[in-house]
Amino acid sequence: MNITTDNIEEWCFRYLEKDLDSTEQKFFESELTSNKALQKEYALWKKTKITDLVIDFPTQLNTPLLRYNMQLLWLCIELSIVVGLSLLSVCFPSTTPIVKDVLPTKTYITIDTIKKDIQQEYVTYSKHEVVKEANVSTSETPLNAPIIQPYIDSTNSVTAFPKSEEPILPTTNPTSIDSIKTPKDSTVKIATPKKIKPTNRKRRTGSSLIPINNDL
Amino acid sequence: MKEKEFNIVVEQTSQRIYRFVFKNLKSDADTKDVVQETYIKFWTKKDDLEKEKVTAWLFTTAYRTMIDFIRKRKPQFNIDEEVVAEYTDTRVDTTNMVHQYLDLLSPVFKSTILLRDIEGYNYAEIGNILNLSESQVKVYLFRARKKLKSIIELNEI
Repeated sequence: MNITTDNIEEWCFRYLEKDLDSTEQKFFESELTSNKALQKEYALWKKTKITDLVIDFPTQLNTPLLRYNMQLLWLCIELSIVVGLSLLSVCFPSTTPIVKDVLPTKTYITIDTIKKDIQQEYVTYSKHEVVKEANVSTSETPLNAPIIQPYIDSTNSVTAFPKSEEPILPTTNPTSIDSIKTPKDSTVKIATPKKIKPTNRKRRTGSSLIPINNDL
Repeated sequence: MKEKEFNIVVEQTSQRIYRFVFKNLKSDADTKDVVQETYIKFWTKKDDLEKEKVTAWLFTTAYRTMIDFIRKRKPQFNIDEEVVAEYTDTRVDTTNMVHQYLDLLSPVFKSTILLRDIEGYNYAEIGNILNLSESQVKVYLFRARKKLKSIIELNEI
């Protein structure tokens, strides 16, 4: 058993790691008191031992989660809220009336109905013009009276009509769609929807990324 | 393992895992990522693990995840300056300079010393965590301490 320059490191390491048996330990400790070179060497080795490491985990993660600590209590609270709200909705039901938007699906324009302002408003609402100077004096219903469906914006999925149910015009006289003669010379003119002429725009050429000013 | 037990393990070990990883990565955000990933892996394997081996398994997984992270990471320093400033301010004496010298060691050496001194694991446990044999751990620990000693010696002169 001897401590030399060749094995001094090993001795220090083993002593530091408490790998020495009792006799070796006593020998090393006795040498340590007398040998200054060993003292110096061991002092350096001792510094390699990490003693304190003050690195704290971020505090917000250390706090215990309340939801998990009192799980049963939280469940009771949640349940009571749900039950309370459902009881309230049962005991105090809503009194606000539900207004249904009722619109007739078909309108028969007859001579009587044209006379009335209310009906006129309705026709206007349905975006079909009724000629004001319509000279209607009879209450007879023409056989070939046009059936006009109210024009409703087709973009609205709720109120839109299927495409097949477009305004039905009299088929008996297909050439005179714009003017219908009643038995007593009363004329109802139905305005045809204006056709939007496509603008003469130059066809865009070139890369879509490069803006083209057509006016230039 | 139930959810409650899982939470208890997380509470008990998270501080230690964070400290272990942070010593190597030196970045709060990166450390959090690694710790998070470690616990996600733990969650997926929680039913297969024995309760006694959970802590060691967590250290192993954290170490491997950290090594993967270091390999994937671009070779650049992204140190949280506030943390480093705080860290260096509080440790000005020579003894605590060791913590800074420790950063000069490779991850394996550093982990070996940390697991031995801070976590108090024996050679076999460290071997399990770092996937090394007991004798390898002993050799690595010796080399790590020797290197650290030489750094201390060099800086003290």
